[in-house]
Order: sequence, then C-alpha cells, then structure tokens
Amino acid sequence: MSGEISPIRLHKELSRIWGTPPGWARLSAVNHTVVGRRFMLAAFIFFAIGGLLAMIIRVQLATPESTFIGPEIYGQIFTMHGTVMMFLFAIPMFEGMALYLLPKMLGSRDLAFPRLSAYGFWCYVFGGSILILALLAGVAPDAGWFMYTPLSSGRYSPGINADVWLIGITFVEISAIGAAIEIVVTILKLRAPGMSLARMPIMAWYLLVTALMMLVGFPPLILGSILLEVERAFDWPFFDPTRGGDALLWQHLFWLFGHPEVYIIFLPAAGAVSMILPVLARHPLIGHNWIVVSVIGVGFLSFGLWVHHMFTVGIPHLGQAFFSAASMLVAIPTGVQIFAWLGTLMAGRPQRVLPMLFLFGFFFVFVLGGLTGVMLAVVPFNWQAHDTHFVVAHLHYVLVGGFIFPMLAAAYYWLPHLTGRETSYHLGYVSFWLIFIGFNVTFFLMHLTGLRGMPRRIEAYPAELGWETLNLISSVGGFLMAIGFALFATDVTLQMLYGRRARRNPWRAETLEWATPVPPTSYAFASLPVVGSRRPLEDDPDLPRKLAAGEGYLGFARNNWMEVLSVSTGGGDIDHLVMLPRRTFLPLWTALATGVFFLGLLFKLYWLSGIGLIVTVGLLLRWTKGMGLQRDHGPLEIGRGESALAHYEADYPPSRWAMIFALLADGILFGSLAFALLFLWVVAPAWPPADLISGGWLQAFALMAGLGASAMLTRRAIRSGDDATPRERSLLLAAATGLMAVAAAALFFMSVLPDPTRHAYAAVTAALVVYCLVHAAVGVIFSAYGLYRSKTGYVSAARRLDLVIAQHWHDYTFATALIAMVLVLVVPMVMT
Amino acid sequence: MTSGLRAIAGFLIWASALSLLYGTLSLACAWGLGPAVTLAVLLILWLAHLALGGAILIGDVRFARGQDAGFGQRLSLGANAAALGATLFTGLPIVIASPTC
Repeated sequence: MSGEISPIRLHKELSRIWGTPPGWARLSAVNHTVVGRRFMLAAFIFFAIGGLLAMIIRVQLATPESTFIGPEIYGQIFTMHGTVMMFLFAIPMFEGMALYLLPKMLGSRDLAFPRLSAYGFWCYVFGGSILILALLAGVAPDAGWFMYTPLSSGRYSPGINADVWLIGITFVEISAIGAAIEIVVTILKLRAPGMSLARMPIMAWYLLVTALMMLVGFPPLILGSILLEVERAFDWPFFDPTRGGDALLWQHLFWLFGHPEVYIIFLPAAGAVSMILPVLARHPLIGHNWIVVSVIGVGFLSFGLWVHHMFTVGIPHLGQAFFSAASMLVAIPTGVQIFAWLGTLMAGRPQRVLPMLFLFGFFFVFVLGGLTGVMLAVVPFNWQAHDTHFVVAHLHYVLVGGFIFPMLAAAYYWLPHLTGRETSYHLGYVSFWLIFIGFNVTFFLMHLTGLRGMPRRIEAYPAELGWETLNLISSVGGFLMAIGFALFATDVTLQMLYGRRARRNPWRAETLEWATPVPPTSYAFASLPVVGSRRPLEDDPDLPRKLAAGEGYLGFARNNWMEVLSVSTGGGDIDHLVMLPRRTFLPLWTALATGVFFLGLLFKLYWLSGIGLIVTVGLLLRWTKGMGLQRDHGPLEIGRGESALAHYEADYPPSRWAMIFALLADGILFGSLAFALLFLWVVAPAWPPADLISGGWLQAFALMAGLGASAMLTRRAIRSGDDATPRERSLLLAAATGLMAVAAAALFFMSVLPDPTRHAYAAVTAALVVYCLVHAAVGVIFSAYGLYRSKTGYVSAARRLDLVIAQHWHDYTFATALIAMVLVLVVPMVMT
Repeated sequence: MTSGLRAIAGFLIWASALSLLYGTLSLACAWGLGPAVTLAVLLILWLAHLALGGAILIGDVRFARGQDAGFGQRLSLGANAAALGATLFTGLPIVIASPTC
C-alpha cells in the first residue's frame, strides 16, 4: 500500500475520510482541530461575558455607597464573574488548546475519542448557556462562586439561583471529565512510533498531569453539588447542623476540588511557556527532567493545600500547620520551573517578538502573585487577610499572571498555525501594555485595599473608611485592561481576515505540530512519523515533505477507515492500530438529551429527567453501532513493511484505558462520599442519631451475591473464547444476577434505612445505597449490551474488548459495594 | 506502567502521610485522647512514612547505580527525593506546634 499513491491523491482521499462537510453537517464534526477551535472560541466568548461582569463590579465599587446596582443583583454579578471565569473560560480554553494541539504535537491524526470531545463541547455550551440565560433572566446564582452552605442551602437561598449553579456546573463538568480521560489516554497511547515518554514534548507532560488532576479533583465537587442539590430538593440534611450535618463538609468537598483547580488552570499555561520560551530564546529548555519532576510535584502537592482556604473555620492549629507547610512547599516546584525558564533565557538569544513580551508579563505578574500566596500560607497573616480584597488581589495575580498572560503569548505564537496567516503585531503591542498596566493598576493597589480591611463580596462601602481613592484607581485600571483585551480581540480578528499568508513554521520550532500544513488539514499528518528525539524537526528538517508524501506509517487510505497508531505507554513501540469513529450527529443529540435530563432536575420536572436519562443512555448505546469488527482480521498492514492488530483485537486498547481512568474518577467520588460519612460522624453535632439502621444483612448479602455473580459470570463469558453459546448463557445470567442486585439495593433503600430527611447519618447512608444501586443498574446494561454484541457477531476469543470493559465495571461495582456495606452496617455498631 | 507507579510512589506516601496525620489529629480531638497520646501517635505515623519514603528512595538509588540511569530511573529518583523532602517538611509541625484541639 505504501508508496503507491501520489501525495495529492493521498491528501484528497484522507480529506474525504477525515474532513467535515460544510453547512449543517458541520454540527456533526468530531475532528480535533474543529472541536478544539470551537472550544477556544466559545471560551473566549464566555471570557468576554465574565469581563463585562467585572466591569460592572468595578463601576459599582468605584465610588463609596454606590447605587449603580443593588445588593441582590450585585450578588449575582460577582458570583457569575467567578463562575464564568473559572468554569466556562479557563478550563475550556485550555481544553480547546489541548484538543487542537495534542495530536499534532504527538504525531497522531486525532485524539483517542473524537466523539467524546464533541459531546463534551456540546455539554459545555449547553451547560454554560443555562447559566448565562439565568443571568439574563435575573435568577443567576448569587451565593459566591464557591457557594458556601448554609447560605446556598434551601433555607437562605430558596429560589432557583443556587440550583442553576449546581446543575449547570455539573453539566459542564461532564465535559471536563470527558476531556480529561481523552487527554490522558491520547498522551499515553496515541503518540508517534518511537516517541517514548522521555521524547514527548514537555507540554504533553503538563497536560498529562493536569488531566490526571482533573480526574481526581473534579469528583469531590461533583459529589458536593449532587449532595447540595439533593438537600435543596429533597431536604436530605447533609449540611444542616441542626440535623447532624455540617456546613464544613461542603467547604472540604469544594476546596478538595477548588485548590487543585487553580493548578489545573496554571499547569497548561506553564506548559505553553515551556514550549514557547525555548523556541523564542533559541535554546533548548534547561532542566527538562527537573521540570517534569516539578510538574509531578505540583500535581500531587496541590491536593494537600485545600485547608488553607479554611484557616479561619476553627480547625486545630496543628492541622492548620500541616496545610500551611504544604502551601509553602508548593512554591518550590513552581520556583524550579521559573528558574529553569530564566536559565533558558539567559543561555539563549531571546527574540524581541510579541509572544515574548507576554511571557515577560507572565513572569512579572505571576511571581508577584506567588509571593503573596506564600504570605497567605502563613496562618497568622491569613487570619488578618482572609475574606479581604488582599485575597482578591492575590488570586487575580496568580490566575491572570499564570493563565491569561501565557494564553495571550500562546495565542500569538500558535495563531499562524491555526489561521495560516501572519500577525501584524502593532495592535498586539498596544494591547499588551494596556493589559499589563491596567492589570497592575487594578490589582496591585487592591492589596492595600485589603490590608486596610475592605471585605470581599460587599456591594457598597461607607465613605469614611479610606477605601474610596484606591477603589477608584482600581476601577480606572480595570477599564484600561478591558480596552487592552478588546484590542487583542480586534488584532486576532484582523489577522484571521486580512493577514498575509504565513510560511510553515515561522518560529523555526522543532516539535511536530509545525510539521503539518498551516492551517492544518483535517487529518493532520498524511503519514505518521517515527520519532527519535524531543526535536524531530531539528533531526530531519525535511520531515514535513516526507510525511506529506506518505513515507511514514499509514501513508494510505483504505476502507474509509480513520486509522491511527497506538504505542506502548512508556517506550513508544508500536502496539496496535486504532480505528476511530467517523463524524456523526450523535454527540449533539446525546448532549441535548443530557440537557433535557438536567433541565428536568432544575425545574423539578422529574418525569422529564427520567425521559432525558433514558434517551441519553439509549443514544450512548447507539454510539457503538457499527463499531468493531465482525470477524477476526489478524495483523493489518500499517506501512513501512510492518503490520499490527486492530485495537478490537488488542489487549489494552484506548477504550479499555478510558474505562480504567473513568473508574478512577468514580472511585474518587465514592471515596469522597465515604469521607462525608466519616467526617460527619467525627465532627458534626448531634451524632449518633436516635434512628440507626437495624437489620439489612439479608439485603446486603443479596446485593453482594448478585454483584459477585455478575463479575464471575462475565469472567466466564470472556473465557468461553469463540464458543458463543456458553458465552451468551453467562452474559444472560450476569444480567439476571445484576437485576437481583438492583432489587436488593432498592429493597435496602425502601425498607431498611431510616428516613433520610431526619438526620445526616440517614442521608449519607441512603446516598451510599443509591450509589450501589445505580452502579448495579449500569452493570445490568453492560451485561445486556455484551449479550447483544455477542449475538450480532462482534465478540470472539480475540475480539473480547466489550466484555473486558464490562468486567472492569463489575469488579469496581463489587469492590465499592463491599466497602459501602461495611460502612452502612458496621459503622452504626461502632457508634453505639 | 510499573516504572510510572514507581515514579509516583514517594508522592503517594506523602499523600498518605498528610491524610493520616490530619485525620488522626481530627480523631484524637474528637475522642479526647489528650496531647501526649496524640503527639506520640502522630510521631509514629510521620516517622513510619519517612521510613517508607526513604526505603523507596534507597531502592531508586541502588537501581540507578546498577545500570545506565535512563529517563525513567532519573524521574523516579528526582520525584521520590522531592516527595521525601515534602513528607519531612509537611510533618515538621508535629515537633514544633502543640497538638492541642
């Protein structure tokens, strides 16, 4: 197959297979270039909305006792500013950048799960739209972007506002979890042959750690949101101290997410710095291995800091000291990166170009923010500065410095790649200085405003406290900054519309994304490269031409398959061939159905949610139609005289890894629920409650027996090999025993548990049982689906992927149910 | 995969140390164990984690000496050394601050 086709014909055939048609068909796009650009565009629109909200805040605070807007609306404005910026701008912006750049940097044609990216995009847009529409309707969330209870509980926030946050954000989080799984699996498996972990671009390390942090960090927030929504809707008192709950439970769950969140935002931007700076400095990155160690260090340490947001809640001093120590520690790996970058600049010959100017802006602003962060890590100082504008100043220095400035640098650096056009720069320089000066005028003085005692989240302040001049100057700075951002948007638009054609690789960078045409084709690479170092374009400057000529792997088009290669996790040796799914409207329909589910919850139309859920599950099953092979193919040619198995016949294809990482996130959510029970038991007032569980051993036994049988029967089905009859019998029995488990869990919930509205113990116990029930029900779907796949010829001894994925689910469900039953049945015995 | 797990073993120990120290302090306060018992338990936990982290680091050093240290080995060594330092620093308050509730 290789070498038989001209480059032009190869381009046409690959474009036909990988491309997205015009018109309405664009809504069916799953291509990473298209979806990545959409994420970034949508994120920028949300950034503009968040910026407008910031302008309203600054107008309100510019003068004392301002009546520009009232307190109720002001609450919505600052809550939405934080929510939009954190959830609807920062995370999706880096997701978009990752989706667009990763396959190209790694030498692959697309991400591991293209439809998941598209589904995530639509969930993000629909979830974000719910929040914005609520803002326009005057019912936006108004309890602060971190929604502390009891303010956000039903008693003090009786309206729909808080529900909009809880449900809208959870909807958006689906997108984030999906993107995280996508990024992890793509980095671990879909690299170019020869690209070991040691040879992959440094950005891939940053994104790998970030995505793993998302898998671990987002579930506590998802659980917290579910619990708070259940409290508000059904009066289960997780956070009500009068009934055994505790408001601090929300704070722990939120900040367990919230602190890693800010590093999830920072790390991709730091990755961009690590990519851009060496190119513009014309010197390889100094301290590459130390940077990788530092990124891993930040990834872990960021999970040990969360209590520094809670230093004033009454935690024992020694406990605070642990988190104070960890908060100071995290400055070290961050500092290692800063010094590595500075060293690279000093060793190199930095070019005076616009992206470099934004990088200098990053250094200045972010380092200042980091210094005030170390100040806030010191508990006695924190007690003085907590909830003042000093913290507002700090967080903007680290987030704007650590994310916005690098993203602006990245925008100017990679814009020629996206658009195929050059930047004119003149507006860009003006934009930089307006943003830089405006930002520092706004937020530097805010440190003083905070030290003079101005609290956060107040809509007005009296004139005699001496805050008015500082606030007025901050507001002027804010408008300067806004003009700067408007100029940036104008500059980018002008470049896209009128810029001169850019040559490929205008920066003379050495990483693979610059080996594609600019703007890139839908398939990224006409053939896949073999990589021998971290600088493939330096090793072979002629590589782009060779790849376009089909001289790499998969330099052909066959059977309308969208093919990429999967490699071993560490070494980069070719493992198997991956056939990706074609474009489809299914992600859009599925996201719409998911939206119906969430809207039903929001408006308490639970029948509607039920319909939405059933349709969503049905559509997700529909995604698999036509996927897979109905006969064993054995090794298939992949070019260069080599062959590899199709992923359906491989041991660890991407989808199996996706299930493993999805279960990691699920396990963290379960762990958070277990933590909730233990935390409330130890800390909350009014424990133990009067009504404890009595009995339930029979139901628990039936539950565990059903789940255990499902797991064993699925194993037996896999071992049946090519013999369909025993395999299908095992799967049918697995579905039946799964149903038994569901029934047992339902019976447990209805007949054994005390009323969950009476005490938080009953509420959390009920939540644990519901968790088991839901997972048992999904297990039944997996068994039934496996049976269907077997009957339609998609399963054999070699093609057992569907059953193996189900096996992971059953094993996980059994293990967590066992722990849940121990907690539910044994904890009351210890309590009394 | 094994080398990947080896590279993060030290930080997993750090995470365990932080969780157990904070959790144990909370339980000790809830159960009224008193400062002396609390301090003793925390010290034992901290030192045990330091020992475990140290053992992993020694293993990394020996492994790296026995062959040409590739990227994976150096990554492990650096990460586990950093993690041991983090475990030491995070637990240092035990010997500085009073374990009062």
